[in-house]
Amino acid sequence: MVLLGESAVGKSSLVLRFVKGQFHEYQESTIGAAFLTQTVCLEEATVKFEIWDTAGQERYHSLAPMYYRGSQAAIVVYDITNQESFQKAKNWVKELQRQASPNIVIALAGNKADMANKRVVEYEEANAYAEENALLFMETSAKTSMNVNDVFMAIAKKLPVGPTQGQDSQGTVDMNQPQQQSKGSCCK
Amino acid sequence: MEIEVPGGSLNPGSGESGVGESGSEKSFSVLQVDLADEESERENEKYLDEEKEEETAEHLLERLMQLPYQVFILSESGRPIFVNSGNEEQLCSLFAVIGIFVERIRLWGDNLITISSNNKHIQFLHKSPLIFCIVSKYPEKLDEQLDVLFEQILSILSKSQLENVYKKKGDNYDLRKLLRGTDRLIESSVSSWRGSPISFVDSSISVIPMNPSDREFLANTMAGSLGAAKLEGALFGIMIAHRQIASYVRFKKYIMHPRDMNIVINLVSDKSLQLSDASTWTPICLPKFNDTGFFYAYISYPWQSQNIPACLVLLSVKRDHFDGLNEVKKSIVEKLEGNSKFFQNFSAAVICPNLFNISQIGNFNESLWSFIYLNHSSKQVCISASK
Repeated sequence: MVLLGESAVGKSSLVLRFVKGQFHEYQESTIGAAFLTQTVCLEEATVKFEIWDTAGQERYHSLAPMYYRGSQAAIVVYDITNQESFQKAKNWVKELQRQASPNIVIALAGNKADMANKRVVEYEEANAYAEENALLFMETSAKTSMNVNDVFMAIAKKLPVGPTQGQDSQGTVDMNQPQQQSKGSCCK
Repeated sequence: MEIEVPGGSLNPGSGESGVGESGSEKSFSVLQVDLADEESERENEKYLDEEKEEETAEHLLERLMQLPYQVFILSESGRPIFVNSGNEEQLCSLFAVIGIFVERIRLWGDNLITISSNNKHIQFLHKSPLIFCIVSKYPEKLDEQLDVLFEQILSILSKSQLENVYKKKGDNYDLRKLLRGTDRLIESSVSSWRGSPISFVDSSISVIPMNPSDREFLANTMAGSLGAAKLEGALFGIMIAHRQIASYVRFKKYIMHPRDMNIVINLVSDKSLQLSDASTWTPICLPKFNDTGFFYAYISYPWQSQNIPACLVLLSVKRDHFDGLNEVKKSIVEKLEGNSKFFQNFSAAVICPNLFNISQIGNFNESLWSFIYLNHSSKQVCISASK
């Protein structure tokens, strides 16, 4: 899975909250992309999340396909107190619809829901947009942990159960492919 | 070996949301609102500015005078890009002065290199499209510090991207948009350079003390796993702790320049990368190796959860090597942990590094208090504790 969105909307904070249960008031901006994993037991299956937390800065934009191409799911994050970040999120959704795998599950997350007094993106507006585009949608807060696990779980439930690993092996997220190892090296 | 550029050229327009469908209408309506009270607002701004300037200009300059050094980066048109302490906006006029100095002397067909007084030394570096300037109490190696700074910027953008962006977006482009989030890397590159004794010797790499046999095992393990993976284009592996290298392996034909190595060390020492159970994959340009292309760096702190601050970096020229290098890391970690005697020594050496001991070069000289050893070919430096 991959997280996309404008810089400083809280992608890393969402991932840290989900994977480690932590929140830092001052989260340093991500460099490149961070790869994290988290295993969660649902009632009927165990889901192993392999998460690409990408940097939102403009200079990294052209690298994004490297991360979403092999992904089965994406969370596109915006900040409910920042209109521009919502516009950027829409651009990401468009890009994913055009270029990512056709079966990709996309969730839209309006983060920083705890800062409702500074809200500029209305819930209804984002919800309507999500419905039009068949996206999962939730408002989240990495700070209070509101809806954080829920958005990951909602995605897990929409993913096909069972041996999807096979199709995924050319992608970038399957870590279960052992490398062919052979003796001898020219490396030192 | 060809080095690819991540994502090719800049994607024009990708960064400008809102210029799309709704853009024109929106900007029009915003304009209308602004017109009504433009004048009063301007006056307000002027008043605020004046007040601010009166309050801060003196304070600010006084504060700057106290600092041992001050670094400025600006565009050729005088646009502020970076200052190591404080806020670029507050120092606009200083930036402008630097720009004018450099430009004036360029018009005379010459180059401004340095201005010195009794207790202030100012060094300039003009590398189109950027201008660098350092104001320092001490005159030592200011030129090299500016080179390091220039290469730090290149490591983020590469020379080709840096030149292209000004060509595409005009001389007045605000480069801070592209450098967003990297201030702390630029800052730490200067401060670590100045704070380290290695700055006494030309561009060198400082080595963390370890038993020679442990270091050999570490290097052999890293070389073995990297070689066995047969990833064409994965050229370097480095183990780093406390901004010093524990081990460095490379493919025979390729050498990493010490200045490039210091860029890697500076990058991985950033706090945001020191996460347990996570790894980072990021493009990085190593200007001495090739200033127009990018490496991809696989960075992990495999033992962060045990508070062992060692970082493993694997560098490849291929952007799709993440999975392969992740396997290489697993293999290296497994082998290192598998040798419990090594791992115990290694952890101790990395958690609480000792300085080299004078007795390591013999006890024959009573008057020897301390030594610095520089290996000329590898540019690696060892520094001893004092007696």
